Amino acid sequence: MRICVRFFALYEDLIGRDEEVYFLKSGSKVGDIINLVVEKHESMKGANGMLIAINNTFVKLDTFLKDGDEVALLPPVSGG
Amino acid sequence: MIQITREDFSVDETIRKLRTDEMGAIATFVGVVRGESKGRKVDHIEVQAYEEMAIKQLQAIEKKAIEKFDVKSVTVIHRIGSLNVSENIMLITVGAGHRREAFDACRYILEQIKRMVPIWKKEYTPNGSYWVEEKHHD
Repeated sequence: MRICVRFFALYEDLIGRDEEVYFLKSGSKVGDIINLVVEKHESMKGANGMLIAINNTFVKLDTFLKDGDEVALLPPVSGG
Repeated sequence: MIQITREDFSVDETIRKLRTDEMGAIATFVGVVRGESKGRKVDHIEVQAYEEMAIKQLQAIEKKAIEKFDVKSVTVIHRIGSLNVSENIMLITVGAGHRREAFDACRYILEQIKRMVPIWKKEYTPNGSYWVEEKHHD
């Protein structure tokens, strides 16, 4: 499966880019992609309070991924 | 009405557009850039949004506020981009039959935005720049 991961705000600063593509096997979950991101980017270890969205909807770590999903990793928000 | 924009907004114009005969109260909140944060002097801020999702979340909050508090109309305008101290960041206006539900809905919308809308503020100070960590008031 081809998954596009987007990074925002603090995470974009930590990683140095706003988007990456990952390839995972079928049956993978959101938690699997988080593990891959943290493995690749040590700066993301200990990223507390992360919110995750797939295709603009909040999801949990045990949500299954589909080919073509856009996964957004969101730091704790501070709008308003 | 929901809007994310780089442009400044007019509170008067927004209220004028929202106003109807059914309303006896219009509650307004304006968020502005504060010149000090955690003892640091703020020079300016950058506001960033995951825009597609922020609009979707704001529309859901608008719908929920109208249903929950039985108000007539809601407008939320949130700015993004570089903003100087004292500039407007966000506007919430709620039109209702009476003041109680207008104030309650306005407060509810503000607190929901601070919990669940993917927008972030970065403060620029003489000592460096910092992403704002929001405290939630229950």
